[in-house]
Amino acid sequence: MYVCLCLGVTTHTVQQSIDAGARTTKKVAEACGAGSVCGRCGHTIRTMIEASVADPPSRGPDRLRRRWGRPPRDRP
Amino acid sequence: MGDAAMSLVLAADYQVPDFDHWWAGLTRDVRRLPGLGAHHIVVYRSLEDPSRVFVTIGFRDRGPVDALLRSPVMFSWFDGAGVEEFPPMFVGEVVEKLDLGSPDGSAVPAATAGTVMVAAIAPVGQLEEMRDRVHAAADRIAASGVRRFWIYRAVDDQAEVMILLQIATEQQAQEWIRHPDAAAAFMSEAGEGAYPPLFVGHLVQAIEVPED
Repeated sequence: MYVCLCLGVTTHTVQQSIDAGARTTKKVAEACGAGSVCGRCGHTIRTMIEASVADPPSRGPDRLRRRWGRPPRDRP
Repeated sequence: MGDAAMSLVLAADYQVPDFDHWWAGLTRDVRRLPGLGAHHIVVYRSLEDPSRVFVTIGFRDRGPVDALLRSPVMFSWFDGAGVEEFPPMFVGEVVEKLDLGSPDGSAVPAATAGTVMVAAIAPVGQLEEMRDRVHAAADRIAASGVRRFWIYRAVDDQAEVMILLQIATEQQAQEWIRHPDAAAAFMSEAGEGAYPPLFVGHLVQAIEVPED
């Protein structure tokens, strides 16, 4: 899905920024540009940050694969 | 697949503070949408939350997605709905339209105002495996009330899909939400992170947009 209409930034790219440590909308904007123009995607970005804080990327790439549609290795 | 199957579809799930006002605004905006190359707009309204809508817009040509999203027309679309915060947007193309038929064997009638629909946007893992599972379970899915099963693949993530289900009754739609068929278990991923929760609603109107 596309989060930032102004720059065409996707959820995948935003999630990568969050998992790399961006924990505020400002940090996400610095990392990937999402929300840096009109800022009207801020709610979605905050939702993604909150979801990541609640479900931290302790399993790294496996979690990304699960979240973004690539089955983890331990799943059939 | 025909040309329509390859055209771009944009979808969003969002809330409008005043549906009636938005509906009037939508009618005005339709006249401007041809500039984007849209050929139809389909509006669904949630059964549980009357301010929640699910909108799909089909485009004639598959132009650059970035240009489409940042178009002033797109911004005015949300402004007209009183939407301050933009929802995440699904952009994809249809890969399958399954007509599962009616219990009596007759063809499924075209969707009309009031037709019940369930929508989901979620990661699906391997799309082809999911399609195989759906095909294998087609009879079972039909028995649960699903009449049409449409699958769209996101252009930005080959493993992300939007599913639109036309379902016979509200009760069967609610049951599907609670217990989706095992072949569509991925729908339980809807609502995680940026993904909108499962949507169950009815068709308000499918609007054909005239060409320029």
